[in-house]
This record gives sequence, C-alpha cells and structure tokens, in this order.
Amino acid sequence: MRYEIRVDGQMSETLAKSFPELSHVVMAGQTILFGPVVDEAHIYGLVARCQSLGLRIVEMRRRPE
Amino acid sequence: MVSGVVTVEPSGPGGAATELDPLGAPYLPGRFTVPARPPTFLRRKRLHDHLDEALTTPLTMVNGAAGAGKTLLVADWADGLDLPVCWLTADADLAPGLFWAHLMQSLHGQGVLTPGEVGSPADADQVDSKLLARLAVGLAGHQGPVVVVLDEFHRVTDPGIGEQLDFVLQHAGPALHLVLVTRTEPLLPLHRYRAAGTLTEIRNAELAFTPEETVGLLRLHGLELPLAACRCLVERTEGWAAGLRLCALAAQDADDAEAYLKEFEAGQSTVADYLLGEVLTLQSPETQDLLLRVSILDRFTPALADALTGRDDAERILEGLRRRNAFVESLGHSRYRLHPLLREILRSHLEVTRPGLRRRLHRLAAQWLHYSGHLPEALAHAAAAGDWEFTAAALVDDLAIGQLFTGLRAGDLAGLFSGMTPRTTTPAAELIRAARALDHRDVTRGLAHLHRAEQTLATEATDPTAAQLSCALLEAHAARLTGAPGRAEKAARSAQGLTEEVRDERLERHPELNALLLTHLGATHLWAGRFDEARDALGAVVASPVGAATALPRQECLSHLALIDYLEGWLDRAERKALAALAEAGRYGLPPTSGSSVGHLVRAVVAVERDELDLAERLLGEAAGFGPGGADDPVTAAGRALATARLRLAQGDLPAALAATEPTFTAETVSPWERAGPPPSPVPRTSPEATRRPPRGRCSTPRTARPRARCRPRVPSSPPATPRPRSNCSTPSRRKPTPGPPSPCPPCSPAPRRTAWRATPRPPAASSAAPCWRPAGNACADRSWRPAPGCTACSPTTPPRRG
Repeated sequence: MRYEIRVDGQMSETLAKSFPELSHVVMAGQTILFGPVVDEAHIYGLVARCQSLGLRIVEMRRRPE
Repeated sequence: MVSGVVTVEPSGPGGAATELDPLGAPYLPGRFTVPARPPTFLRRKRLHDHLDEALTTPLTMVNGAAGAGKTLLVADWADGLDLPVCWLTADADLAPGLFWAHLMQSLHGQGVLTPGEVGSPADADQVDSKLLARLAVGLAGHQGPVVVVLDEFHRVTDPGIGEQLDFVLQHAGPALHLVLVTRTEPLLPLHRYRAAGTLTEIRNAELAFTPEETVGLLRLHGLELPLAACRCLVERTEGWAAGLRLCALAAQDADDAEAYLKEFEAGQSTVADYLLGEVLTLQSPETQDLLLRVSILDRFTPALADALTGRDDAERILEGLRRRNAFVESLGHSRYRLHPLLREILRSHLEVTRPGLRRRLHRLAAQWLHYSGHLPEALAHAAAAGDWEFTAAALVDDLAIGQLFTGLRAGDLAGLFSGMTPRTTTPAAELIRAARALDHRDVTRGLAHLHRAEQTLATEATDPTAAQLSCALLEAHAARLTGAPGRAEKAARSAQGLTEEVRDERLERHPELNALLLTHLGATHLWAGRFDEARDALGAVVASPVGAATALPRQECLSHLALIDYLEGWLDRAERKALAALAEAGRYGLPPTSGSSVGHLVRAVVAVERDELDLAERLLGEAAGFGPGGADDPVTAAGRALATARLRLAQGDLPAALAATEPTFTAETVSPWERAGPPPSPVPRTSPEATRRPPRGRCSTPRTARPRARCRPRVPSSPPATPRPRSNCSTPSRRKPTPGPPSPCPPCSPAPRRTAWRATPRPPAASSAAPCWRPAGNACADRSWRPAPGCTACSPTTPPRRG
C-alpha cells in the first residue's frame, strides 16, 4: 500500500533524509512525503518519526494503487 | 526539597561502579535524576498552579509534542516539593521486568521502599501480579504522599506496563501520585480516571507559550522584544517552546535580532529543522562536530564524548552549551543529554553530512562503555555498529554468558544476538550460538557450536580463560540435558580450576554463572541418583546471596531438592521445598510457571499421596505450561512421567498410567531412581505433622510417606505363582481390583514402604514385568507378602521415621 503524509512547513533536504524510504515534494508551506508503506506498524513508526522530529502532520491518507 | 536522588558517581574508564542494577551493570545515574533547569528556564506560574493539583489526584498526565517543555516544567515543579520525588526517565522499549526494576530502584533511592521489602523483578518480559501487589501495599503503607515521575513515558511501548501501572494505582491508596510525562497518550484507561475526576491533565495547548511569556523567555536570553513582535513569533511557532528557544539562540547571534526574527516569521520552512540548521552553523566547527557525534548517544559524559571526537575539549564545550541552553541538558553528575528533539534532527544531519561515520561512532562508544563497565550499553552500541565479533567477545569476556539464560537481560540479549551474522565465527560467537541452542534445548546443535568454539578458543579467543569458563558452563548444561553425570563433573572440575584463575570482580558481577553451573551439576547428580552430591551442589546455590540474577537457578535448585526429598521419602519436606521454590519465583515477580516444573511435579505427586487428586491434576496441568518448550531435561521428563503415572493410577486409569511411563527422552546414562526405583534408602520417612494426620482412603495404614518411583522390570528369581490383586490402597479406590499379571516385585507390605512400580513398557506376554501394585483393600493388612529376592526397591515393614 502507498501512503502520503502531508506535514506543515517546508522540510530541508537534510531532514527529508530522515525518511529514506519515502519520496518528498515541497509545496507552498507544506511538504508531502509519499511512498510505499509495508504495514500498519510502519505507519505508526512514520508518525512517531514525524513527532520526534517536531513535524506537525496536517494530513495522512492512503493513495490509490 | 528533593532529598537526593540516587547518587552514583559515573565511573570513568576502569572505575569501579558503586551500585549495580539487577542486570549487573552500574546504574546510569541520569535515569533517576531530576533534570537541572538551565539559567534561561522561565517558570510559568499558571502551569505550576495546575500541576499542584497533581497532589490531589492519583494520576497526572503532562502530554505535549517533542520540545513543548514538559520535562523541565515537571522537573521544576517537583524540585520545589517538600516530598520524596522518584524520577525515572524511561528508555526506549523497556520490557515490563526492566521497567519495574528501574522504578523500584528509583523508589529505593528515595527511601520510599527498602530494598528487599517488595523484591525485584528477575524476568525482563513479565512481572507477576503478586510483586505489583506487594509494591502497591508498600506504597499504601508509606507515611505521607510519594510523587513518582515517569519522564519520556512515550518510549514505553509495552501495553502491559500501562495495565500494570493502572493496577498499582488502583491499589496503592492515596499516597501515590503518578506523573506521566509523555508525547503520546499512554495506554491507561484514562477515560475512567477522567470520569472519576482523578486525572490532572496538562496538554500541548496549555504548554504553549503565550506572547507575554515569550517576552519573558526572550528576556532571559538577553533579547528585548516588544509584545507585538512576540505575538507574531508565537503565531509562527504556535508557542512551541523548542521553536522559541532556537529562535532566541539564532537571534542572539544575529546583528539585528528583531529583523532576523521577522525574516523567520515570514519563512515557510519547518520550524525546528530550519532553526537547528541556523543555530548549528553558528557554532564553531569543533562544537558542530561534537554535537553530531554525540547524537548517537542517549546520555553521555564528557569523557565518552571525547572518546567519540578523539579530542579533549568536550567538557568545556558541553558546559558552554549548557550555560547557553543550546542543545544539551545537564543530568547532574557531569552527565549530559542532547535535547531529544534536537538529537533526532542531529542524527539525520549526521547521516547526510558524514555517511558511514555512524557505525564507526557506535563502535567507539561500545569500546569505551565496555572498558568503563557499562556492559548492556556497550553491547547495544556494538550491535548497532554491526561489530558482532566485538559484541560476542564483550559478553563472553565479561563472564556474562549466564545472562542469556537468567535474569532481566535474557530476553534483550536473545533479541540482540538473533541479529548476529553467520559469518562471525569467533569462539565467543560460537559460544553464544551454543548457549542459545541449549536454551532452546537443542543439544545437538548446541554441542556442535560448543565444539567449534573449543577448537579455536585457545588461539583465537580474546580472553581464553573467560571463554573456557563459559565453555564449562555450557558443557555442564549439555550434560544435564543429556543426563551425563561424568561430563557434568568434568565441566565442574574444569570450571573450578578456571574460577581460581579468574578471581576478580567479574565473578561477583555475575553470580549467575556459578549458580547455573551448580544447578546443572546438581540436577545431573540427581539424575544419576547421587543424592548427597546433588544436595551439596543444589544447596550451595540456595544458600548463595539472593538476587534477581540468580532467582531462576535458586527456583530450580529448590525444586530439585524437593524431588530428592520426595525420592528419599520425606514428603512434607519435599512439599515445603517445592513451595519455597514457588515463593522464590514470586519474590522476583517471576510468573509461577517460570523456571523448572519439577517443584510443581513434586507437589502433584505429594497431592496424589494425599488423595487430593483434583489438586494433583491441576498442578500437573500447570507443570505442562513451564519453560521455553522443547524437550524436557531427563529429570523433568522422569518427574513428569512419575507424577502422571501416579495420578492416572490413582484415578484407576491403568492404560494411561502405563502410557505415561513411555520414555520421552534419551539420556546417556540410566538413572537408578527413574529406571530401577529409588536408591537404597532404609525407610520412607515422614515428619511429625504428617504422622498426625489420620489415614485416609480405605487403607488402614498411615497414608503418609509413601515415596514412589519407578521400578525397573525385573525377572524375579521365584515369580509368584498366582496373580495378585492390585492395590487401590494408595488410591481412593476408584478402580475395582483386577487381577494383574504376576508382579516382579511382590506387593509391598502395607505399612510404610516403597511401592515400586514398573516404568518401562513391557511386551504383553512379559508377565514378569508387571507393575508391582500394592495389594488391594483387605490385602493391606496382609503382611505375609514380602519383597521378592533381589528387589531392593521394596523395603520391609519398618516404623515411619520422623522428619
């Protein structure tokens, strides 16, 4: 399954490397991380990683395959 | 005022640690210290007032994003209390046993509980509710309130811990005030606390700085900003403490602070990321280098930081950063940590700017920590570096291989070494593989690895003596699993010689090594029927100083001593020892089904003797749930067969009784008591209280002290001519007496005696191998039967001995 996570603010390239398994695109005032997610545990891991990096999740959704 | 947290000075390289945790490693003091506030900390009265309500509710939750200022708020509040404050900073993924061991250490440090009052968990993965109940009772009995703060509680992910905390809260009475500092909602039934009005809650929105507070915070950083400017800043950062603090640090170094902050406000980057980059580039190259390198560590001393940088300026740099409240926080005892949020971001900077350096840093940290005696941390870093040769050698050289079998670290270590690559073939690595295989009762694989280690350890081991001693332990373990007393003795002799050689503090640090060795030796002697030698070895373990590391061996030894007593005819003593084994497990929060099931089996056969067949059935069922699974060791298997057969026989189910005696294991030697009845021992014995009990069942003779063991089928020299009735005298006569085949041992005389019965399956026609059941009902009084010539298992009628 594929997910996208929209976080507040424009992430630096360095910080985006904290999510090596995901691609990212920076938009006006937001960054979208997207890519394949292995399972639910992976999703919770990603949320925890966002939290530990001080990122605010604006939206998170599963993308159609 | 806090009366003093656990005061353990960090030990530098080679320094002796003053206090050991249940894992045998020095406690890292940072975990139990109320963090110091930096000079730029702003006390906010509204939050303090709200937190004061924590003293009126059992549970308080301070819940906010990373960097919201939770920890410092609670630390400042707690430091101002005139109460004992037990502080524990949680580590990632603490297993329940470890969590409670740490929490109890914190309570001991504050004098809330005295060590030994409650006990301490000995199994990392589980904590028995009795231990928690004792803890709750201990807390309820405390004079005056106790505040327990669990910082970084979001790192505790085991759902069981939430339930256990809830249990303790429910039963500890009004004395306990638990404060959870966490980023996520803990897995406690918070709704129930909310509904009952017993929860004080401070959440992210309340922790956010107001514009007025921001003015005060920036003033502490030497910046004078008008309220309007601060309002914009609060809007941009949403009052986030970490963001504001980084803003202040960046603006301090800017030529025009206000203009700089305006620029930041207009930006769209993620706050911490951007600001950290800004603040980091303002630091000297040495400082930047140091910050990136120590980001792999949770806590560190300047000496450890120096080890990672290869310089000697860490103390100066860290103290400077602490004073400026930039990146690092002091934990006291010259220990520091990076702010958790910044540490995460610094780690990603390290990965991007210095790819490949992280592994090297982990290796350096592992070496330093190992040298300083912090084995668990050293192992974790060595594993993170992927340096399995070092990881395995560190464990073996520290004589800590016993920790793979017993104590709080066992589960962690098993998990750690499950990642070991097959390419690592050093003697230490082979020893660890052997230990893991033996722990899973895979003797063939265990011995293969053990022999591989033995071949190379003289030339390749980093510490050949430690490796040989570990070898001896594993040899003894294998000998026990295969019922080979000769091999166990050889291993014990070799271990004794090596111990004389070692004679240093490693043996004191790892009492489990000797305890396990003696347990294996004692169990093997027991198998071989050498009860006196077995009792010496097992008794030595029981008499050794108590502790979580040896709780499991002591439980096993008490269980095996109980079996010896049973086999020698001391029923009451046997039961008492089996119950002591259970109590030993309970004292350390081990579930009743950990350790050896022999104690349960002994209680089951004793219950059969007393006609308490339901109890025996239950105990037998519980005994099946013991251990890691896999094949039983010979003593346990024989004990199980004995108990099952006795019970089935008492229930009148002869086929099941016979089926239970089918051998389920292979042993290198034959056990005299398993195959041929109990060893020669004059008489069954009983203690006074047992003899006072009136006889039960139909048997007119005292029902006490009828030890039973298996009787090897013997060809009697003069087989009885007629089939004898089988006894139900030892059983509550649920079975009609049926004529059985002639008994090899003549039915025993009614009064105290050994009832021997056949253990091995016999061919249908082999009448000589018939069970030697006791005579039936009226036959009980028939004293004319005497042991067959050559049957040592049946003893003549003798008056019971008092025990």
